[in-house]
Amino acid sequence: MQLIHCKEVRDQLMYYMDNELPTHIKDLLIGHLKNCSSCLDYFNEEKQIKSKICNKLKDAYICRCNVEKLAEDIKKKIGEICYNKED
Amino acid sequence: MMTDKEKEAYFNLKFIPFLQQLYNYAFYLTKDEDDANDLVQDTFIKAFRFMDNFQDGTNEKAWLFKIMKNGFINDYRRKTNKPVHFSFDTIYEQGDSEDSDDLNEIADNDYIQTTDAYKGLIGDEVTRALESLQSDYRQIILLADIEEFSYEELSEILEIPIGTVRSRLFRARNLLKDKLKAYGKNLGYKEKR
Repeated sequence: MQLIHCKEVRDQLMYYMDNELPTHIKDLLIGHLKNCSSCLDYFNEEKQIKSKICNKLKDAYICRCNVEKLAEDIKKKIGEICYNKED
Repeated sequence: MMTDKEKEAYFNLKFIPFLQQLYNYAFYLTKDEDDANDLVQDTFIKAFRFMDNFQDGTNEKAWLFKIMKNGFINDYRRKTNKPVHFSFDTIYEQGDSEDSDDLNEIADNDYIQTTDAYKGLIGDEVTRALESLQSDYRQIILLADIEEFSYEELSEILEIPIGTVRSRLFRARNLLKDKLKAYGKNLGYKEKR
């Protein structure tokens, strides 16, 4: 027995994929997906697209720079703040 | 109350590990390596100075991102001679409307700047489509899908209610998908709605 309509399920899929649904809604949604092949196909497709888009964005936006020097600079400045206070 | 030495040790253990992610966000905001470096350093130093305000149980990463976002807004306002209303206390305040996102006023004018800055870095339709979105939509996708913040963390960083996070992210992703429909066909996307 389907407890919620296909449109309602599809509107909630994004939140399900983000792991942001309350348990009772999540259970309803999973129950629906188990019994509705059309929504299950839709879900699998959306999940695949989201994953591909996220991977593309990560490749483009995540800087591959070396932040070790920056970390050292910050630690040094923090150390100086502490040292100056002690004086 | 921790001593400065204890604070320093805690800081290095709990905050410095987020440096790479903070740098990514700083570069996204400033579109310049040197400015990103400065923004990251300012953020960490501000965080250290205000560590006494840091409450146990607060999410360190979200706290740092919020300091950076507010610092960037403040700096932008100073450079453009706009009045500065921000104080560190705003880090603990919750905005309650879409209008509270000050990044809107900054970054919708920076589309051309952004596309120039990322020339060579942005190689395909996905990133171009993201760059063409309005700033607040771009911002939330970046934080949710690249930095993988939860809705609660997004609410904290962007200073908007969780309901607004949900609706903004929903709208942003749908707009992105609309822009990607042609490209999506190459990814295997078939419109079924």
